[in-house]
Amino acid sequence: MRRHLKILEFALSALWRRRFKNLAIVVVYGFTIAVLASILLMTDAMRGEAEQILIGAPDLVVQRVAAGRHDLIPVDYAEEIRGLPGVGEVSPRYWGYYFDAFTESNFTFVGIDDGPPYELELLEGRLPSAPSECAVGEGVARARSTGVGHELTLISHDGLGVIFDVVGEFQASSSILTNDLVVFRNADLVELFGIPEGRAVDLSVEVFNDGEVSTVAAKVKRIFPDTRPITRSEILRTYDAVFSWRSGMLLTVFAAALAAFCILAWDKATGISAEERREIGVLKALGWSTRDVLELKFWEGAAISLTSFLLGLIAALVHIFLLGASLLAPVIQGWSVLFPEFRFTPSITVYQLFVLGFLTVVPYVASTVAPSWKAAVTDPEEVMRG
Amino acid sequence: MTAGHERFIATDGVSKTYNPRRADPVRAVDTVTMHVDRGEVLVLEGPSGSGKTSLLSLIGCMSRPTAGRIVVDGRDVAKLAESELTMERRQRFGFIFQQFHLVADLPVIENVLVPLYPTELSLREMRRRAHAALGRFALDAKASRKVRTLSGGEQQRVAIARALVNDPQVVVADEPTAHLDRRLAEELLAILEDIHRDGRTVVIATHDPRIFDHPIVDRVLEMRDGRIVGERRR
Repeated sequence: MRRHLKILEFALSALWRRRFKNLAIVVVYGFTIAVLASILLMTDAMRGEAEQILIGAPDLVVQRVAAGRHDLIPVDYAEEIRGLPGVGEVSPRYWGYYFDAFTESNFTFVGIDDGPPYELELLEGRLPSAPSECAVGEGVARARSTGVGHELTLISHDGLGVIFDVVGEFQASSSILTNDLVVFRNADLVELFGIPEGRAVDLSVEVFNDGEVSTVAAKVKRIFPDTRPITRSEILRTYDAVFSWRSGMLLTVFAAALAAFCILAWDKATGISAEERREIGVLKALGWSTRDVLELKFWEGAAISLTSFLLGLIAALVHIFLLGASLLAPVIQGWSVLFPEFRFTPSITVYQLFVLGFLTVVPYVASTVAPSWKAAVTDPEEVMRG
Repeated sequence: MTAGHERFIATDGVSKTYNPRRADPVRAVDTVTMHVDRGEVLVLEGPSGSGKTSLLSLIGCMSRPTAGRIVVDGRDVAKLAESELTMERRQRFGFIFQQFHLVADLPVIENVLVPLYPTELSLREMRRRAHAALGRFALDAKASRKVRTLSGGEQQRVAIARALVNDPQVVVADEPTAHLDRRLAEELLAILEDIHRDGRTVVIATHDPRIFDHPIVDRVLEMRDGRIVGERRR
């Protein structure tokens, strides 16, 4: 143990000796890890947010499609669907996106009759229960400088200004869930959007047995060919594919930097400088064994890569969870230019750490130790001779 | 065998060929049979390319022969595993290189400590030994100075202190006066004499007449083209 600690001390002293070169490596390497970690963390955070949203999502959503376009669905479809075996509650839903010209942001409007559409908690106040009342998300409140006890002015479908009293403000473990949300009574939203009587945006369908959801979806499609039943697992898969595709795109863009880093690692892996070879030869001549030399190189590689890894990871965590992924959000979120600011819920898993570590620390340590191995197993006289 | 001396290192038909599988192999040492007695000061003398450094490396367990046997203290080191050969180097030999091979940006004390890092000695004991070795060459006061701030002669003495810090039985020196002026060369010879007085065996490869004509030298082996072509006793 004492010997290992002494070799570690020697390794750290060797790194300190070449501190400017090593600092440059840590900066470049740390930046590479920070970008890579940001992409992975953000993609996973987005997936996490999507899963949060879908916790309270209906088992099945039935939309109407006209000429391939999402159209309003007749409310009386609900009666027939409710009659299918295994189906519980079928409710019309009223919701939609609203472009707010004042803030140039998109808000999500949701109508309710009883409780909130998802597992939402109110930060302050209550849910709307009387006409012309609404509850707003944190982002909307910030963007429109409003809050409980204040008003929210919106433009209705016929171009008229409508004033709502803000009676509640949301909080949630997922800020993306409520950030752009405004909740109204169904009747208010129907009026605001000008939704014709007897129509809804879609129908939410409760299915008692999770295994029967796709069967019920198929039956709905058979009864109403003009509908498009969407199961919760389909939505999850879609989110997954979208975020995977976007992170893949980012990684592709980042590929040039990754390639440069790989070339650097390859260059290190395929050879060491004459000075490094001579140093290994001297160490061996002075009584260091092959194992000692490789241990020294291992500690050097581990110190550099772990330092870079930690700095890169911290930078990525700050970037994603404190700065709201300001550099990557436009790419991953897609339409985020019109989206209010929000913060991801901080989370990191052992699996993410393992993947990042495996992709970054392991190759660097290997590329440090591998070329030294050749010099270390050669007789010191031959190594010093060059 | 030198009268009254115990044979310590012996080579028997030792050869060393570099690049043996290439079209232009170099036979640096060619079937050399020689010996070094315990406590002897032996000089390998010859022009550049005569094979003296290669033979010195073989004797010092720094390389393995292509053919032949090398026996150190009764043990055939040519057949030893890498780890055992390392232990031989660590425990028996101290090396003084032609170009010192010090780490210029490290303090003097750290350079002297290098051979002790892979041992089980405590850091306190390592430092005690290093200070003792430096003290012997009046360098203790400069222990914390960077090597590059020292003069050539001081650097030479740091290299010698490093060679002695393991308390080796044999000190092997390759062209130790190659970069030294007359005064520093005299100083070095005085140090070698001191080392010899400790009872250590000293083997030196050189083509400097100041060394092989010096009174401390017991024997000179003349080398040409990888072979020993002459021997002078004093």
